[in-house]
Amino acid sequence: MTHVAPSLPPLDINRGPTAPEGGEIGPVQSGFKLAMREFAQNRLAVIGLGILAFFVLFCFVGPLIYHGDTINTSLENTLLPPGAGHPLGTDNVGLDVLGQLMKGGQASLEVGFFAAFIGIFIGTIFGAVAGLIGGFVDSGMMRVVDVFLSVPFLFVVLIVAVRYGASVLSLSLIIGGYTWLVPARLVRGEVLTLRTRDFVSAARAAGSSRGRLISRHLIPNAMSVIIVNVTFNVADAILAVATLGFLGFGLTTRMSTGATCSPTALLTCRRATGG
Amino acid sequence: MISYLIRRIGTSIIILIGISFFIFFLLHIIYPSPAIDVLGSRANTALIDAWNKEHGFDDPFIVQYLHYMNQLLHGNLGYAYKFNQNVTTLFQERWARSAYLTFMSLLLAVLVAVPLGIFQAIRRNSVGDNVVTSLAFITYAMPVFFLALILIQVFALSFPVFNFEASQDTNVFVVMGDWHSMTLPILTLALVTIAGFSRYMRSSAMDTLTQDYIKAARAKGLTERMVLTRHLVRNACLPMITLIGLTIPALLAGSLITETVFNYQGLGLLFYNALNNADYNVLLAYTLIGASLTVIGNLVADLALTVADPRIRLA
Repeated sequence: MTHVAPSLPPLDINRGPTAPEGGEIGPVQSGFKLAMREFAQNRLAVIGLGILAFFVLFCFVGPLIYHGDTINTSLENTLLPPGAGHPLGTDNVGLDVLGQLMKGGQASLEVGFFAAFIGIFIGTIFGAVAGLIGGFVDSGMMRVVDVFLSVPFLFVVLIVAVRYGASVLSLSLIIGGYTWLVPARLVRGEVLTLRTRDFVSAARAAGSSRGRLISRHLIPNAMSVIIVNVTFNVADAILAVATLGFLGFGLTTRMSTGATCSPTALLTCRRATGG
Repeated sequence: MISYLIRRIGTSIIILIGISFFIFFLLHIIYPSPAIDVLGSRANTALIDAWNKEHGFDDPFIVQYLHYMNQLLHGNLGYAYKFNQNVTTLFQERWARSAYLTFMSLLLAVLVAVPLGIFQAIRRNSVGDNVVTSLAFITYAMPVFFLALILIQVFALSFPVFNFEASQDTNVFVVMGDWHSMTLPILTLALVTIAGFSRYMRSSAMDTLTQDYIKAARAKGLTERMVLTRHLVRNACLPMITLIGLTIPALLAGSLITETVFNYQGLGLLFYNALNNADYNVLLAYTLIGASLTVIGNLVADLALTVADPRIRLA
């Protein structure tokens, strides 16, 4: 009888991780992929992302497709109602309103995101350091935050805009200089809670420095609070830009969304329509 | 309780000093000396330097700061060179009207938001709740000036119910009686505040409804109405006290815009005119007053909360 060599296992065996007794191998359970899957299953989140994407495309890709005239004024075409050639009509000097919306939205979005980014960056680090060090330094840092929080935001922004002129950079800096306050408070609160957890003790025992503790352990765990806050910060920054433009102190070299509603523009519109 | 009071007041004083330092720092950086406004824009540097030296504007920073604090503590808010009056006089003419507008808006907001929030919490996830939530989000997201313009267009121009301009009278008591002109400004400011308040009130009332004492009251046999009025309203309103303190800066900013749109001769419009004239003494004096009001308002709100909520007092 020929000796049969031991057969190789069949080629379709599952070469992935073996499941424990009674367990199943499911899809990826951690990290970025899980977050993406959870996000995609939440209808409101997807709708929100869609609206955001629409606005970004509208403002940045729109002008490439729709060539509304926002530079050449045309006094015979003032205050036209929506019609051919001008889907949303023209304003009081003949500039196309839809084109203005697109161009203005660009500046507003830029300032909004830039200011929120500055604010979150500064605020997170400030709050994490304050929460971790604790004691007198913490109290001092939080009093500084209180002082800045008490001063009404709009007033300081207006004063700086009047004095130094309003460009995208200066507005982002000054709005960012106010946006960092609330994340600092929130992150400090989160860090105070996280400080007592076991993983922090473990990291400390392993010899991690404070910087590593903050950047590798504390801030990633405080991310949920940070993310919720940054969405509000972007919205607040865009509203601030619009308010500045409305009052007439907004971006001087570019259009922004508030400037088209400014008091002078509106007064002219009202007179023209006889209302 | 007394120690809490003392600690809280001490912190507030420290913050007030910090605010005055920040405002003076801004003033020093932005507007170091009014020499050019007084002497004219074509004055030569020698003249400017002599004027600065004479009036103490080239002293070291700390000396100028102490001089500024001394002025403040004597009630002198500075001199407005473009208006050519004392800042204090300018404010005295207008503060009553601004206070009336802000106070009425806040009162209206609280009176509407508290029942609205409770209604939303009781009828949770019903049609009414969802409608009010949507309206609240829409109003919350709208800038104040946009809401003001819409209200003017609808209620003053298209259907002439109210006046498109606020009352121009100088006597604050006449202004108080002039509902035809004052309704829209008060309504604008109130609507924006109601949106935020009702959200907080709703979540606070929802939290309170899950408490054990509500269950006990119902089990005792109290009518639902008694449960609501006697237990729910009082306990759900506590966060509102803190919230009122926290919305003071937003009210100041909102009144600035509202007074500008409705041409209401209050402190906000003064701020707007000073912005156009670049009169920094007025601007920074108003910012200082706003900041101080915020700190004092939050202090009062915290103290009121300890009075209203015995759990904090005895802790």
